[in-house]
Amino acid sequence: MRKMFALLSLLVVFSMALAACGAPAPAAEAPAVEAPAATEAPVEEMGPASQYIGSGMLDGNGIPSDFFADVHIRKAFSYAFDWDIFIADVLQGEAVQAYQLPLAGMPGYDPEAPHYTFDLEKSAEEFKLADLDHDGIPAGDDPDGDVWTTGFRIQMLYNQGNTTRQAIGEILAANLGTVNELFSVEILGLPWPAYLAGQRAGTIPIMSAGWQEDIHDPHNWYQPYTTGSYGGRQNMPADMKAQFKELLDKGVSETDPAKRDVIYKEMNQLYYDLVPGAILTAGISHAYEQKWVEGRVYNPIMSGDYYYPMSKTAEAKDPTIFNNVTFGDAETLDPARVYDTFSGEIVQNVYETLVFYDGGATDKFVPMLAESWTVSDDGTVWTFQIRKGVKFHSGSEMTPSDVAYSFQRGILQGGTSSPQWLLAEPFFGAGMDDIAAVVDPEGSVYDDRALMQAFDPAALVAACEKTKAAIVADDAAGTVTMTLAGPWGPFLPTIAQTWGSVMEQKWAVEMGAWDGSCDTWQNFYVSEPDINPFIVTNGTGAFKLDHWTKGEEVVLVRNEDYWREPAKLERINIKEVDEWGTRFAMVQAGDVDITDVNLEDTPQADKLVGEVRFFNTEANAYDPAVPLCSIDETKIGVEKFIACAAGETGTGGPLRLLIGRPNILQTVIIYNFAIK
Amino acid sequence: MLTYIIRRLLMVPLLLFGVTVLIFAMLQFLSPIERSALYVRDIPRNDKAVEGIIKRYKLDRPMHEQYWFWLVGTVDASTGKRAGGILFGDFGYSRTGAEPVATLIRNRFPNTLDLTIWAVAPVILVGIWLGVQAAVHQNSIIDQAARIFSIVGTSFPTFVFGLLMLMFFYVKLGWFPPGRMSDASSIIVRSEEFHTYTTLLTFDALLNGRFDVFLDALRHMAMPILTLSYISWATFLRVTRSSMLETLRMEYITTARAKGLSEHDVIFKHAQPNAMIPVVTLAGFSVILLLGGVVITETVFNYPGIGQAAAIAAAQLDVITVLGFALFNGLILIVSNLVVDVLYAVVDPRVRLS
Repeated sequence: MRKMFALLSLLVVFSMALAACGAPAPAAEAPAVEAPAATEAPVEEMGPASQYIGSGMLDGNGIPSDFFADVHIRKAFSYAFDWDIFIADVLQGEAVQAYQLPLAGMPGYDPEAPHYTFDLEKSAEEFKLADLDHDGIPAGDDPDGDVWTTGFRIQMLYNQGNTTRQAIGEILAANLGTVNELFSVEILGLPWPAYLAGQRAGTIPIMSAGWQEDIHDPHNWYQPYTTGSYGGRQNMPADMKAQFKELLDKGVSETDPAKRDVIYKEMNQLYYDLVPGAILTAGISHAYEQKWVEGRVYNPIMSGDYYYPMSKTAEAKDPTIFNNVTFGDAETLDPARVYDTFSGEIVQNVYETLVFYDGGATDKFVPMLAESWTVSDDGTVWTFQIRKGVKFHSGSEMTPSDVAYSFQRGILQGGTSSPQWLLAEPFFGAGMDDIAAVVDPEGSVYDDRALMQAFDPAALVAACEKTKAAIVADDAAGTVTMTLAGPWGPFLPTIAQTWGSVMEQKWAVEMGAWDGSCDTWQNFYVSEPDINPFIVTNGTGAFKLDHWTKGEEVVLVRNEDYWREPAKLERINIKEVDEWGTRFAMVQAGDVDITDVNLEDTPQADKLVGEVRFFNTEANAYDPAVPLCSIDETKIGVEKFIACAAGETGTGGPLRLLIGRPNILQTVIIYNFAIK
Repeated sequence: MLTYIIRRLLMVPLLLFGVTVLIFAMLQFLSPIERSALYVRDIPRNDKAVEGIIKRYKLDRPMHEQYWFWLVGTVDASTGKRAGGILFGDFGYSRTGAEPVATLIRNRFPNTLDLTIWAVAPVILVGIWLGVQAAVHQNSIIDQAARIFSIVGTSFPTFVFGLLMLMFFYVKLGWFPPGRMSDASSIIVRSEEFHTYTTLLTFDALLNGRFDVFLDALRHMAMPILTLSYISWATFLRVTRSSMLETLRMEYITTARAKGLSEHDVIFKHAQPNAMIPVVTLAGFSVILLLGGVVITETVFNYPGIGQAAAIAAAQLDVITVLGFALFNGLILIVSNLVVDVLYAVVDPRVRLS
């Protein structure tokens, strides 16, 4: 017994000693994180701390910290990426080179946009035009030597396990070595915490950054990559940011799609000329469903699937029970906080928004909970006529007050991990990404409920009043009037997503949510799932949540009192099976109607395909299904699948494949202008 | 005996506490940003989110403050609710489980316990019986077959065996589906008439008189139990066989035979009880392994036990959850070891009297 106590006290003392040794690390980290705010222009005398730039000087053994500040270097790197090999070998043909950030179906999309191609000669030319020693003479002609004669050494990082990011680095490294044998790029895999820390500290010279759009709008692409998060990560110079910001603000405040198209095409040109990043690829869809599934809407901007129009033909085992087997799990069911696809799918089917997508179209909207809407001439005042006779699952009737409450609650809840920044910007102005910015423009209360609660009460009430004044309900007239800070082009796409869902105020307050008073809103600021697990639902949607057994399944049941014709499906089982082998067994056994398949597993699933729907880029929709006759393994991507000629019978497989639609995820290599 | 048990049990909280302090200390080597990485899966879309996480979990406070919060949690000024604090039973929030770690364990453990209870008989008893048969019929066809069977069983990866079972029993025959229970049973279990007494599905089904749910639960457990059995029989067979062979060579066995006892009595009344001591150790370890959650089997058959939850947490670097599971497994290990020690005393009178 005594020995045990002795051992334990030794253990505790040892741990304390360990921790004491570890403790100076936090103190040392703090000045390093604050330094980026102090330094403005990239200056090589700062003595960068980054360990990924070799010697930190232009001596062939490293790079100076302002390496990527030279536009010719950025261009040279962009010409050195081999898109064909990347798409064919790494992505198995299931991607296309993205010429610009806007996607098909949005203003600014331009199949003829200026873009970089794989051209090692042009890359060499650009390197020779660079002037890294700042003596005014391009590197190709510089008698004192510059990057072309000294060469460089740099490390490109990826987080361990991410083979795509690794492959991107390796392609770049191989090609740069071909351009000039003195150019050396090492690919280095970091454990996840180190990668995150390096990215936050600004020490990573070059990295690949993917983005999945929140709304189908060019603003949601250009903002992150210029003035937003990625632009910040790149330490983009202030004057370059200002150039982008000018066009960004112009584009977002323009409501005429034709005029926006012109502005974003200008932006494409600017991004091409300044090349802060090399745009890589946009993936294409490769989705499966059982042949007996009908009515599936394939809209990439929706969160997962929309079950209302779906049904199963009579040959299915249980035609009214739908089985979606997938991986992952939901995080929360609070519409104001949901920011991932799994939770989003549940909210999208259980709750509804004022407007929604017209079937598979990403740029056309139809009335949902709003019957109609008008916009003032200056584009700032939106008046929505709210539909009558719509009931929540609790039985109460939806009123305009519920609509106003839902939007106000979301904005006042805020939080940088939530999607509320997409609503804060239109209501408070571009750049205002959280209610915290309204309360304290100095930015001291971001993400901190305690600090927010302790802040000047007058400012708190003022921020709440401001929010309430911007979203006004008139129950008698049946309208909700939203007053934006300025005209906002992407407003409809923004409120069509899950964060625009309508909740019942009375029910929410009963569940412990904000009561609508400007004296208490700060007590609900930043409601993360761990302190506020919001796992109950009450929407107006065609389905109700039956139960969510964490880690196992989510089950939705039909809402028989839906305001439209009730859904054809009675029950939706969303089963969580992380293991692909097990999911595949379930597909073969016929227990699964749709499932998600990772790219590397598609060859296995392809063997069960009997019908194919190819995506038609001109029509921006899928063609009708055709029987599949064979799969040509010598080809990659869409060409692999050979449809039957007239008269041929297909493979007879049970699955239908939908292939070829560019999805909403693009990857860009971003350059760090001022490596710390 | 009683004092021995009480002393061993008193050690449990102290040992566990020491482990948690050690892990807490090791985590302090990372900077606040690096520690915030444990709360997110990929680089957040909004760069300010990382600072938000650091603030929320107080990752940049001095070490002793963090330790204090970790022990007793924080109280929200407006609601008076306490969040966190392992002394209050809050082991943190599981990002991968979407619920507090303690709740996650409480929800998942009964499933694993259910599986263990129903696996004990097939795994241990049949394994022992096979070993006894092999030893008794030494060097006969039965013995050769048993030894080949045990070699194949030990070398067969659980993963492959599990998938083969899925292909054959589920896809081809449709007898045993993966998962915990079918849709129909799920509806019954969730209805108001079904009362939860033990949280173990099979026993609750029996206690509620729902034989259909009971059979359905067993049907879903059939493949995991078969897989676990096949892998474990190999080891049980060999250990029992060698222990039995050794015992059968003892002089008192010859004496028993000389006394004229029937072969059945010689083997099952005299030889087998004495051969059981090393087998008890193995059985104890097997049960401990089962209770800890058999990760691969649970993952392949989508059985929602603590093994599957721990594997998902580990794969996604959810350290808080993994830490919670480590503590829980530690607790199981210590208690199970104690049970095995007591069992020794029961099985072997020599231990009891010494």
